Amino acid sequence: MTDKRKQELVEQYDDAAFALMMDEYAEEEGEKLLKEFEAAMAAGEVPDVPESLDERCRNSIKSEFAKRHRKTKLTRFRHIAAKAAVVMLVLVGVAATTIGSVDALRVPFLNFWVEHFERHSTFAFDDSESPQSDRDLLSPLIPDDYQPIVVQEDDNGLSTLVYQNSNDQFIQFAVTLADGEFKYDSEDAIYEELKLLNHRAYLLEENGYQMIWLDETNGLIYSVLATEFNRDEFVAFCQNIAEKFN
Amino acid sequence: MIVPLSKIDHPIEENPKFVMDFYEQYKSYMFYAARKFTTDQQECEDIVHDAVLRLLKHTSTLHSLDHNKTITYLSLTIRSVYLDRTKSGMKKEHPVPNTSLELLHAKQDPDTDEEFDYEAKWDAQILKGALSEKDWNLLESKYVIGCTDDEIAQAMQYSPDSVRTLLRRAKKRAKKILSGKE
Repeated sequence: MTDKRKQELVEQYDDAAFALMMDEYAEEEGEKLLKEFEAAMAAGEVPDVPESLDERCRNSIKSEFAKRHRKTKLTRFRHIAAKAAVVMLVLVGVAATTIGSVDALRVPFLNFWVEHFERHSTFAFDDSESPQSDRDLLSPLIPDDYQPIVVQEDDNGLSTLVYQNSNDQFIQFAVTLADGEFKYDSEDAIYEELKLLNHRAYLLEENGYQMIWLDETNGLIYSVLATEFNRDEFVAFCQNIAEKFN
Repeated sequence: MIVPLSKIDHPIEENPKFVMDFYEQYKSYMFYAARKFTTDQQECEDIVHDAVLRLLKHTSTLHSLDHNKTITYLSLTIRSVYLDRTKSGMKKEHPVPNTSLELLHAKQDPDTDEEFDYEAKWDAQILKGALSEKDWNLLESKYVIGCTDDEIAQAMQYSPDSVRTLLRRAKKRAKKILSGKE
């Protein structure tokens, strides 16, 4: 055993011995003081505790425990809130991973989101390494004050792009597969048939302008809608798009 | 006659009723003990109230004491409050120099223990009469009231390290007395 260890043990021994000795002293002394107090009480020499002091002490005790109770409640609330936050985080994480990775869940979810939160939804996909996307082709043609709010691509790589400006004017571009006969029939809308490059196109006027044309070579139908342009501007706009996507 | 309180199983910190009952049982004694130090009514009330505030910080200790030890504990607490109030009052009028020869000597003396006879009787009454008031108060604060070194340091306006040094010296002197070597 080293001297240092011995010294430590001696200190511990002394500490214990003093504690025991003083404990015995407290017991003896308490007995003496109690006898003295009881004798004083019997002799009527113990004054009453003043009402003001009594009230002060009681109030202090009550407010101390009220403070402890508040602190305990706050601590418990924090523990529960922290646990609930962790549980929520885990649930959201699991849900997001599940929805993101399962097509059958992702598509309906995104469609629901677009349908109900159309003005505030932006879906973006990093296509920096892939061939130029529809968005890349279209962006240079979109006026500067328009911002994309929907950028959507389906499983066939066909896009729906929606742009909006600060005046709540829209430009919508969509590409779909040409199934069956290309024909537009609207009894109420004003429309005219025309040619866009060599493509058969329909120009409709109803709350803005919409152009739909068929790219027979690639089997695609293009649709462009804009709420701000006049007719000539819109036709020129669509002409540019048709050239870009030709 | 003061009747000892029955002990309650759950933690005292969660039982305001125990503390309130404790206060009810011992308030007369505390007021009586305060009047031993001063007859000024307002001063007595302030001493008792301050003592209650101190007791609230050590409610777990109250729960662990038996009847007689509670009386000693309360007695020492009242005395401690009185001394602290007196010291702080004096300091305003008579600033105390911030030096302590005793502390200086304690730091200069070697910290080695002479041979102590562990067969000697450990009798607190012998020590009470023989030790200096300061040494005895240190031992009471540490082992009867159960103050930490930090609490003692705050009361005495020393650093905790200095308090540990002073306690070591006090115990050393106490052992000499008990061995009959002083």
